[in-house]
Amino acid sequence: MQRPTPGSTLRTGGFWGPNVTARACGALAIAVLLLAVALPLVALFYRSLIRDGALSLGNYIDVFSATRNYQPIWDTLVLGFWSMIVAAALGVPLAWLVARTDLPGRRFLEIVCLLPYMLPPLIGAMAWTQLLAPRAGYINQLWMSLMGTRTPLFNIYSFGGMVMVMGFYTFPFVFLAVRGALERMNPSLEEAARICGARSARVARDITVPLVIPSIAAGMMLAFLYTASNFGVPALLGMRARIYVLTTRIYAYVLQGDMAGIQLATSLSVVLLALAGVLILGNRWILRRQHGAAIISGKSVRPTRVELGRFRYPLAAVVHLFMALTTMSPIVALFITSFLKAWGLPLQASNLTLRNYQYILFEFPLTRTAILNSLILAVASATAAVLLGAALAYIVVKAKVRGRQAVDALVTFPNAIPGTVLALAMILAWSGRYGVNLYNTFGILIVAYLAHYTFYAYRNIAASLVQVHPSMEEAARISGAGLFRTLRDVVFPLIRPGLTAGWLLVFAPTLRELTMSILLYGPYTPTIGVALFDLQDAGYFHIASALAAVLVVVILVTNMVMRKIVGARTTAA
Amino acid sequence: MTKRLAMLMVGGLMLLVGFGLMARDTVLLYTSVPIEIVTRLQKAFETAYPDIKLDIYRAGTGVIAAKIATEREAGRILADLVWVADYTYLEDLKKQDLLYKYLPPEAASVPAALVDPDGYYAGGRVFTMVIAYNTNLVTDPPQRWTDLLAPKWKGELVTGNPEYSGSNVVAAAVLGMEYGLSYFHGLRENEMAVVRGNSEAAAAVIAGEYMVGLTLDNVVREQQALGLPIGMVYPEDGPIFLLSPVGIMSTSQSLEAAKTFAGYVLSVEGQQALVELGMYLPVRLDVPGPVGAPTLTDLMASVMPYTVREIETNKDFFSREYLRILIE
Repeated sequence: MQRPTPGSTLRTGGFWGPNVTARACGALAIAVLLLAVALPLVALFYRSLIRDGALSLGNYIDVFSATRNYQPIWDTLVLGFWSMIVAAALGVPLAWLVARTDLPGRRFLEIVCLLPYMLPPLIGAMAWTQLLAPRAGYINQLWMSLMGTRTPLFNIYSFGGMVMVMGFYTFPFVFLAVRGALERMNPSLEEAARICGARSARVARDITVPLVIPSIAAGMMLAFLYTASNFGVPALLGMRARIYVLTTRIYAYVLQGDMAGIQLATSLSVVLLALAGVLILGNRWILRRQHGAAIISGKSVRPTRVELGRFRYPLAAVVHLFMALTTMSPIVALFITSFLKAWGLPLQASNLTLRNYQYILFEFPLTRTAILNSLILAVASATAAVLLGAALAYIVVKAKVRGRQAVDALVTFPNAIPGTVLALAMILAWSGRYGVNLYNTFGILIVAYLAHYTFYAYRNIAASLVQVHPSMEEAARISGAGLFRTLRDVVFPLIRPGLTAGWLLVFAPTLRELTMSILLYGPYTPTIGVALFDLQDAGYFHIASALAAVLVVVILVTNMVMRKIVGARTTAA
Repeated sequence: MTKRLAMLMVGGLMLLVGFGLMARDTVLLYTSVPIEIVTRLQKAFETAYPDIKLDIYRAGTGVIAAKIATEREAGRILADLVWVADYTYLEDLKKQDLLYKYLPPEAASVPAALVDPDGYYAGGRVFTMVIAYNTNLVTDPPQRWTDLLAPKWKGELVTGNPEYSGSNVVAAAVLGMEYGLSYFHGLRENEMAVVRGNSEAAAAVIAGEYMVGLTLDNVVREQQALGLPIGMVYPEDGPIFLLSPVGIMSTSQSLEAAKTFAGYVLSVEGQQALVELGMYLPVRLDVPGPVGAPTLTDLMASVMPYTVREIETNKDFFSREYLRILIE
């Protein structure tokens, strides 16, 4: 499609002319993608099938024959299932209240619902521990002193605790999906039913609910996938109660350090990968069917809101109180602990201090190194992801080369792969067995981040590129501009918001990444996520809380900046 | 143009930083010494030896052992020095030919009982596994290890995990040899909780999550100095003695700097720093210990009398059984 105009041929004859360079850039981008994503995953599959140097299914047989190995598979499924149920129980009613009723304070509720979405679940788990650690959590302390007992109200280090925290952190998936469906729903369907004489309950049962069910299912599947892929919550809340899910069992096996451990971790990773694959395919299948039915239109006509009448204010009070308790109170508890001299001390003025902040920011080498490392890693990964994402987006959207679906899949798929699996694949591919040793370096972290997060940059840039009509570029080319001049003066200014959004969307999650970093960090490369996890797990709750509090502020500010730049649409990172 | 200039400047800066780092010898220490203490010790060491840059990777003994195994598998061991709580790990390294044979001159001032007869390591720091309790909740703490089996402590006991913490490996071995597996079953009956390491166990006792816990004497002294509600008992049937020497990896690329650090830890200066920063008992008799702590001589007369060899041969069995009985 890029037939050179006479003008450009005249000026760019030689071998390294713009189009050749462009092709080289494209080839380079695809090569990076293959090395960062395809090679490690192939290495993972291959290694899972090798036993004593020969092809064998021995590793899988081992996995499925020892309780300690298949129990985590079962626990992952059960945890995913219950988190998904909690997510739906919270997400569906909230979405309906926000989208279809005249509940006061809907906008505020919407923001509160997205709060868990912005904060990493690790911080959520930390925050909930402040409230519900057995006997020492604030709520448990209060309960014990009120009841005069040593029996805590609720122990967060339990399966129930994991379900609760994961549920609170995954309900936005259901909320967003259902709210979207309710808002986009074609109101004429409901009106038609009403005109035909159906009463509200009947309309809801026969029209509204069937239309929304696919969205509920799709959101629940995402909640399940997110739970199954998460490391921070089961590690902080489950390992202490000796409950292992796939991600934490893989972590424990990798930490074991010997070949047997790596082998078992590899096989379990393939199991987790398969589970993730089923969930993604299920989610896509539902969404595609929904689009096929085309009952939900893109019209801007909004369905009528239900008037809550005399329930309006009591209901608002209940909902707002509930949301404040579940989303705000853990964060408040986190901030309170960050000012305590030691975890568990009573809340008195004499026990409060600013020392924890001074300590983590200016004195403590671990946190200072970790903050610096994470900043370097986040900037480097975001920049590399934007360059890579832009090149790939151009190839897929504009150059329309053959096999672009494969390129698209290779960028999109790794974003849904559980980080634990991706990290193990990186260790297998990049720790010297195939000639390159990135183990213990920034390099292996950056490659892993790129594989996982380039998708955000790619998606945003591709979306911007689609909107650049070919006629713009053609006009530039006809006026005699070469490919690079066209890109610089026409395309680049038009997609700049997409580039900025892409950069921020990669920057934010890499800044606090834990799941992959915990397996890939070395003595010189601890990250913020690793430092947080280690401090919390080592019982230094007050220091960990101060670091988390700083991070919460940074994340919220980044999110506000993002909203300013790209609008509310893409803040969901 | 300005971009190219900026790139040049960045490149130049990186080179400068690179040279700056190369001018100092860098040595990397893998240690299980609590992070707060070891970073303060790092500062003291770098002040005493400005030519050497000491880098630190801090984790539990179990994690460090795994990390070194993984690095070995990947083809390059980064660690120059290893300093963990389970000294039998150094015996493991010795057997794998990974330990460099060296005794610093300062080792001459350390009691012979704390020096490896093969001449690979000496002293370092000593600490003791004791019974700690929350002073707000407990007035009559257990006096012997066997008192932990009393029904009144049911659901109120906490300890560290041998999988993570080296001192708990030794503790499991000693308690197992002394009281047998039935003792572990008794702890299980009393629902002893297993957290990660000794700092966590102490933090849980201070927070009142549990009334009584197994932890290290120096950790308790540190928390007491901060005014936190924790006390300790040196059990009458013998506290568990732990030695934590510094070992040098035979694969180290900066042997001289590594030797300097190993010597520093045993020097008067180094031991004073450990007493002051970590509230450890000194391994030298010419350095005064923390206020109120027993002397090394008195302590060693009262501890459970098991040799390195006995602990080394029994540790795997007992820590495995300990975990199996208490956790699974």
